Amino acid sequence: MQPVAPLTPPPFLANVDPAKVVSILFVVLFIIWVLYTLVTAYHWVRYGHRSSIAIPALVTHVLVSAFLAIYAISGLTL
Amino acid sequence: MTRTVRKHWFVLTVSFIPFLLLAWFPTFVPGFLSDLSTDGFGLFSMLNAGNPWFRLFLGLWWLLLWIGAFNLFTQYYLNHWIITTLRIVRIRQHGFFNREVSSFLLSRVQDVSTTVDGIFADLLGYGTIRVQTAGTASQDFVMSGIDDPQGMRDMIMREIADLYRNQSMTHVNGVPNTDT
Repeated sequence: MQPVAPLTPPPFLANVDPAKVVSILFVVLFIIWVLYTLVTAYHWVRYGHRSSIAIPALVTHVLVSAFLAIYAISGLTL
Repeated sequence: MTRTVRKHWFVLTVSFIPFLLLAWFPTFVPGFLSDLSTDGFGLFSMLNAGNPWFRLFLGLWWLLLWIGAFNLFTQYYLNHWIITTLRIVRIRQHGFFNREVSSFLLSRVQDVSTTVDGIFADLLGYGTIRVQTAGTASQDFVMSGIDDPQGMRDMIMREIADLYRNQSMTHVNGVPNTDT
């Protein structure tokens, strides 16, 4: 049985900084999240018929999202 | 009197189940595969919450699922019927920036039928209501999974009866009664 060669990344990946990749990924996701949140908030406020649930629902959305985002990056030491 | 009707909470809860399964999936699969064979799937034992990259993936995956679940709740909340003493208003949110509002007078209602199908529907009291309207552009307004469809049907029929009673008091042979 042939010995297994160590896994080497292709040359174009050798110079990629993981910290930069994660930062860019996070910025892209954050922009998507902000757009989604703005659109949702608009619908809740405009079409929620002055519901008492609208603001608590949006606050819950933001808090849970923030918690998950913090959890995602909690293990990273960039 | 005005009443707002939405789908039953159980229908909403059931629609959350795929999101819960998808959230649980990445935490279960690596451990399960590494238990099968430590030789072939040794890599999977690294996929736990202690690994910062796996935690990053898990956090972002859960965030994505949270957005989907919240979107579902938004759709649930914005889709509803409003029943007043004069009309029924149906508001359907098909997606963001795609909204349909239909309204019809109670006097145009020809038939109201309800369907309760299944053990959960029967025990928890949810089902489908179908309101058929009369006129040249007769239409069926259907809403499935609503809370207490029989109660809603009774309410609509009661409002229609009140409407006709009031009309008969204020009109005689189609002519407004000036004595009242």
